[in-house]
Amino acid sequence: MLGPLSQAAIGLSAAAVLASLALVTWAVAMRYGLNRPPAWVDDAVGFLLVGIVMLGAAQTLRRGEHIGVDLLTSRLSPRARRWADAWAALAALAASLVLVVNGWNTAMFSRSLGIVAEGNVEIPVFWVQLLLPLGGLMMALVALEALARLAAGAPSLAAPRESEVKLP
Amino acid sequence: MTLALILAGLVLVLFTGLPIFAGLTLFGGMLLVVTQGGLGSISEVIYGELNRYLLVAIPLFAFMAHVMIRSRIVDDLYGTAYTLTRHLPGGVGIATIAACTIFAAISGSSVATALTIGSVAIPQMIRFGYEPRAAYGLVAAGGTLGILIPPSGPMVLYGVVSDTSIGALFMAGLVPGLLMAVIFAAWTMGTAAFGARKLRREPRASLLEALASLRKSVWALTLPVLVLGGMYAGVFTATEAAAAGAALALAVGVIVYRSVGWREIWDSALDASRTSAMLFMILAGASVFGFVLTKMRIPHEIVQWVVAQDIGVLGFLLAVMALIFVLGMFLETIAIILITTPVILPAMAHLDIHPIWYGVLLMINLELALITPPVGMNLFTIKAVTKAPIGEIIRGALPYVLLIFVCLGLVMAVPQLALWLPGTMY
Repeated sequence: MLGPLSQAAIGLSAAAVLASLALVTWAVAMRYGLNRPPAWVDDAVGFLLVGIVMLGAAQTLRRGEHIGVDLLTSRLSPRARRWADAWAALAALAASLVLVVNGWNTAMFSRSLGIVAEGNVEIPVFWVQLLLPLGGLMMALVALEALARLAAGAPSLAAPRESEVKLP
Repeated sequence: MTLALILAGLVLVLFTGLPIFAGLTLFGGMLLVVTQGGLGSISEVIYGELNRYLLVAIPLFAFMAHVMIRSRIVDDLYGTAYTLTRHLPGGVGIATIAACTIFAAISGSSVATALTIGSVAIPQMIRFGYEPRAAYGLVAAGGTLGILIPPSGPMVLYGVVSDTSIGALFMAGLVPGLLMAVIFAAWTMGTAAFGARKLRREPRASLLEALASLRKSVWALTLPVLVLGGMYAGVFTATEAAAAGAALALAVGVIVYRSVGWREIWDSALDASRTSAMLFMILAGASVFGFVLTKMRIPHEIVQWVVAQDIGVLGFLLAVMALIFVLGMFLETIAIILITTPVILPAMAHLDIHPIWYGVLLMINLELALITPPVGMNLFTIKAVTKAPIGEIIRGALPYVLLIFVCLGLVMAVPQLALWLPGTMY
């Protein structure tokens, strides 16, 4: 269940990368071709970047690609290493929950004040800010999955492995 | 003193093996709770850091690099470099450095450079008589050019955090980057000419042969010209240059090489989003950490300390460079940029240190971080490519650590090496 969810989210994130590319290229073409630069593109790709990060973060965690310093933990015995992996998952869970709670409160505060984004795209800013708790929630679920796997004796998927560079 | 304690505490926390973004968020959050009584609206700080048009350059450059890696461009690039240098002593090594230099101007990433060139060049160098250790060291070091030679993801981050022109930073990295490539090539040629091992040499390529091989790599060479030339001439911002580069890379992969289809485009976009998520989650954590340090007035304390000690520009730079070198032995480059830059910026401004010059010095120092043990990403990359013992790779990279120090000293002594080119921009 969690796998398809995080994969769907990173699919949206990848689509946001392609959309950013299309928008910026189009804006350049409009500026030099028709001398009519669309001013809203700069703001729109800024919003898209928040989406790229927050929608891609959970799957990145699930693949153990959020790097960490494994200088000491890579030398531990397999048993001790499992505890280290559990600690890494617990820390990711705690940091994700900070995003969920604090991000939600910030978005709701913006909503209550009716704050709109500065610049050329005047949308209510809370819609974009909601990406933070959403991304945090998905990462929290991935961290919980890692903890459950470790408790069941399976290896954690989310443990950072800085010294093990993945080949494409 | 407070900063030293905080940094030591942070390094200790990170050594427990948690993801760096989580370590920064939790450590910064804990400091906020202890010193300010609560987390405040840190999500607003994170949102403000992420929602920046300039930073979009990073996923676009990453996408461009992944598309290029999926086309056959690297093989052609290496073939051209080899054809042009094969008659020189250590020709295959020099070809490797040339390929690293050009790929650095395509990929913007040191790890991508070492990974991509390493898989092609290391077997070739060993076949030509290079000691394996020397081949590992050369590619690990050649790969570090990725963050100094523009475009460079870490430079974009430094530019955003320090509010410095990214285009000017890119131009500032070019001359020191090429200088370093020349120093590496001279070392390779010298050790080949005077070393004990006999390295295979081939006859000089004819003019026709050289032109034919250059023709094969014309697209690989066009890309940096478009990206850097566009920024230099003021045609593109960094983000626009990244988009133009990515669009050209797509056109080359799809139309010229015909090795990039929908599958490769989608996979490249997925790779770019994961790279971006990893980098920017560290940025998010670092923004929490930086926020609390500012609340604690640590940057202000550093300015006061600099004034009290009267250490001057050189003393300050030496102290900061020493700190970054030590941090670089243990931490990843992005984390170092994001942790240290906001803290020392006010002191830099007080001492009138040019932020572009400092940015280049920082990048050269971070190149050292990539090849100094115990934590050096390029060392790990070469290990992943070759499965060689890490000790062999570290020993192979050691001469290049000294050469990078020489380059750092040169740019410190002659700031114009970095500042001349951006001074001539539009």
